[in-house]
Amino acid sequence: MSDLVNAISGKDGSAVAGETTLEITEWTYEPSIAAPKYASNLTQGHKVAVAAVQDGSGTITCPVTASGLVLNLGEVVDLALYGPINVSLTALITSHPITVDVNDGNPTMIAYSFEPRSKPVFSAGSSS
Amino acid sequence: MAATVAGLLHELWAAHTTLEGLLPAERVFTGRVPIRTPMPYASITQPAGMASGQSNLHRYGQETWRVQVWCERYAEGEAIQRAVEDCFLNYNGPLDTGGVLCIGHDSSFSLQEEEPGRTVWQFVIQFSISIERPRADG
Repeated sequence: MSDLVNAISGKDGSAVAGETTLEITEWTYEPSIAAPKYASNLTQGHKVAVAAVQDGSGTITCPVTASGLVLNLGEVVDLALYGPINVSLTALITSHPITVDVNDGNPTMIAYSFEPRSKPVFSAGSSS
Repeated sequence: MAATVAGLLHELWAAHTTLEGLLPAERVFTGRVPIRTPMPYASITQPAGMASGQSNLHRYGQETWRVQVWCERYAEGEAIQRAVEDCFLNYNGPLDTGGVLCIGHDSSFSLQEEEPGRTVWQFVIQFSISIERPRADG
């Protein structure tokens, strides 16, 4: 018998902005931490990093429908991002580049970028 | 309203007055053309696979569909090609399976073929068709 543990698909992911479930093809969230470095007489001639303040940023990619823009620049919105890992935070919408593909006619997507306005909360998500 | 892309293309063809006048829909076939069909005639096929994607609510497909027209005179084929493009290009409408599709142009070209005792022109018109259907598991 195999001991293989299957990775969890993101196919059941979703995103809720405020009370509205968005139609999405992808969401991302990249947490980060500032890591300033120093060297002292005790660091063996090598710089070492210190965990400082946390930060993050993310995107929500939505197909454009007759509804038009579903989030607006400068809007502060409570986001609940669902998938194998759930993320919830209050976010500021900072950009939403739009590319309309006349040549191939692909569905038009908007990737809304956001920055956190609250510390994100991570939790275990769907297991399918 | 058709349930399939091929069915929809046949419906659009039959409803296009100019195209129907140049090449009646009864001589347009999905796949192989029966022998002894009088010229001009046409075949509708899906020669390439499908690219797909999905959101949490819909599935998206991108299919290539090909119309091949056989006729005896170049000018006749050219007129049919233009009418086929006018008939299908930029169509945007529903399928009765709950989806919607839109049709874009991919490429067109013509070939001269030799058949026993005659020369035949083949015109090939390819379309890129985008299909959006609700996710059954969404």
